[in-house]
Amino acid sequence: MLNLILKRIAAAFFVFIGATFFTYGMMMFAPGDAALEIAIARYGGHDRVDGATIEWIKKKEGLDKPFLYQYCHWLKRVVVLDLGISLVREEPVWQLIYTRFARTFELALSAIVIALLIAVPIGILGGVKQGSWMDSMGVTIAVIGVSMPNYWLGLVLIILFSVKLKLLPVFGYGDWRHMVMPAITLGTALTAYTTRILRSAIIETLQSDYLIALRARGISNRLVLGKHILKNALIPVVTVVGLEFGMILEGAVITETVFAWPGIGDLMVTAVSDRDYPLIQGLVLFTAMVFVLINFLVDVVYRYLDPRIRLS
Amino acid sequence: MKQKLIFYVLLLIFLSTTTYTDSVCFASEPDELIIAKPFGPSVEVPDPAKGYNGWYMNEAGVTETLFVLDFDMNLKPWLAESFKNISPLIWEIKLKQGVRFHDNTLMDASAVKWSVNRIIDEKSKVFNKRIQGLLNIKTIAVKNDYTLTFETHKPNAAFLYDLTSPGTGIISPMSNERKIYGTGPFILEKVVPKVKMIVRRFDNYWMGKPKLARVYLNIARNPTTRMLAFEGGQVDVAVNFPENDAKRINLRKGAKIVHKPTNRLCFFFVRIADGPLADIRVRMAVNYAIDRKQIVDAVLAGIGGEVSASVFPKILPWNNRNLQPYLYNPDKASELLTEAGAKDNNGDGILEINGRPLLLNIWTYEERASLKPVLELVQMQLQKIGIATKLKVTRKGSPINYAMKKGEVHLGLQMWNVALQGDPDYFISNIFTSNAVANFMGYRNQELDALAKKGKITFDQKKRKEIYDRIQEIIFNELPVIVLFHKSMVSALYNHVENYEIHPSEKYLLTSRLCRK
Repeated sequence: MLNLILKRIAAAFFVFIGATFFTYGMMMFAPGDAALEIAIARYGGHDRVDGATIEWIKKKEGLDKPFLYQYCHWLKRVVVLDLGISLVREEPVWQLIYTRFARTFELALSAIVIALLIAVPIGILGGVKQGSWMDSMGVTIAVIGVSMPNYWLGLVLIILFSVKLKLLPVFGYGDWRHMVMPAITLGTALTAYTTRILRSAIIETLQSDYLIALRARGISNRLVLGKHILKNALIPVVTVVGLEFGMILEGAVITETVFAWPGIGDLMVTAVSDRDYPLIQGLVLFTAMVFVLINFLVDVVYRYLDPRIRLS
Repeated sequence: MKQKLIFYVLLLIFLSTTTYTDSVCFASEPDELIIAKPFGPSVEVPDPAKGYNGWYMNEAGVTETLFVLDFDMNLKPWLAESFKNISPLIWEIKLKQGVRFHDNTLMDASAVKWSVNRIIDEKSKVFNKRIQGLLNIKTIAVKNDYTLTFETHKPNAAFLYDLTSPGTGIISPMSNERKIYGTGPFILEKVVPKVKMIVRRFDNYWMGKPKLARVYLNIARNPTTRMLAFEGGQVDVAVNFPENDAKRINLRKGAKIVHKPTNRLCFFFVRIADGPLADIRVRMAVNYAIDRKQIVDAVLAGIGGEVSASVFPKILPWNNRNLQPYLYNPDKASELLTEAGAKDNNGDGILEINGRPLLLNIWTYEERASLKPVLELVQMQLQKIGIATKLKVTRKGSPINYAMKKGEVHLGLQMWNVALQGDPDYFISNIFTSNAVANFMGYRNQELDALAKKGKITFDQKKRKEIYDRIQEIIFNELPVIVLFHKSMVSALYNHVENYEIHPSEKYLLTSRLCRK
């Protein structure tokens, strides 16, 4: 385990450096005037910015310095855990990311829970009772779920549950009622995907020879399903959920827009269009960290589910 | 089993269609309102001096400025009682007495000095470069408890207008990083960043007790989301309502749509230094080929914009009333093009000038949803007179500006607020003068340069009006920009909301008069 942790930390270091360096480079060499973009975003529009303000921002924020100097200067601060101040919002980057990410995380986690609650039983039933009407229903749900764009689904849910039935708030952030529709919207594609993967994995596992041996030893079907088939079939599901977490963060941009959810999605999009370098860098660093952590957790779960991985 | 499933599906469809009535369930109390708006603060304590916070605090009725623009866009003293222009550089401002901050302390000259100083002092934590440049103050002196003098570095005839800038909202010296005490009708109760602002009544408000006890300003950037929240009866007012849904709401019992033109101008920057539009006849032809009314009707449902002749809207006192909008006249446009030497030599429907097809690169940005359909309509209208177009939708800001400066873009569609402070100078000086930072068109006009310079230092408002009238006339004739329309602000509200009025400057929203029946 210690070995795995050390390997992951070493890999993380290169991921962080690589990701932040390339992002910084891409932003620096993107066409246009960074100082102008920052001024426009900070003061609310092009119609609010004059030449003197643009020049001042350029000088004050060091945008007139060479790329490498700027990157190293940023890196030096990161080493002492200072992500800097947002150029547009003029607030500490860490604070902005932390608040927003916590909300997106909350949403993503709910989406995953909903997805698993729906996908696991449907996937198991579909796999075990292959060809039955339940299987057909599961496959249909999976196809519909994958095909529906988040934006459209979100609006349909709002029209149904908020405008017509008046059961849930259209938008906002606060109690559980605000969470229901965004989580369903975000989790639908994952539900569909997980259902398909789990179903296939179960069908594949059911064809394994060791099941015949288990049954020959007189082990009950329930135990075979619960302890052996499911445990094996969960390995690809863990991979998918791990990988899909990234997709969920990406999908959150649209879901958050529809439901006015104050998460990290909107912050990511606006940071890039505003050329808010410290914020972009902070977000890249943070997202990379989250991905490294998720991959690590997936590895740990693998080791629990499949002893062969532990041995190798 | 299958039958059961079909039954439940049918039940769900039935419920969803039959429960829809005109009755609405408001979350707000009898003396409260919930308003959905597109933007809001991203911090818990929005200091008005920082970035865009001043606008949010001003709209929410928390902070107020020394001067305001009334609903007809006239300058009016607000926290100030009166003013005197001692010399071109010195302004004496007398404050209203009896104005209290939300911490119940009295507003006096030293509090105002402190409040303004913190914005313009480079060492201050809330230094605002934009406002510093705008006010250009050298010194602020307290003459007595209720009188101060402001000395500017350079003569600035727009100084009082600049003091309407929401960033200059006056706050109590007792304000700190945890609490902001303004003078407005509402006290800031709570901000959930990017979610909502909650304000409550300030009983000691100098204009009398506000009618509403509490207002929730809920933030939803997506216009469709605001529209659905309104339709679901979850908000009493939806600001910036999608124009194409407005008609439907107007037909609904108990709800209505209000709209008013604002200072926001939809226009084309025209690259006139080089390329096909360097010829005034081609520019003029493009101008006549654009059917502005069709654009407003098709894209903004006929209510989202007001066709205009001048860069300044009719609601602005600075508007040159003698100018009449260019009327759609494709025949005249074709005549002008022929005069300019354009001819369809190869019969492909596209005109050629000097052997080259008349092709215009037209760009806009994606951040404003209505700009793209405007562009597509213009493309269709120009095609009718034989002008080919290549459209591009990009990010706002520098991509278009730089491409236009290089001559790669011939027309750049924009939407700008043309009189942020209610004064005409800012827009003119920043766009049309030869050295202006936003003069991407390569436009040079010595008369205009001289007039803009004069306008800055002419303190007689009548004479200033003449100057800016002439400037508008020059722009109207030379077309460095092609004016399409001024955007109207559209809001949807239920009939129980009273005294809700749209302000053309988009600076003000909550007032002490706003109430519900």
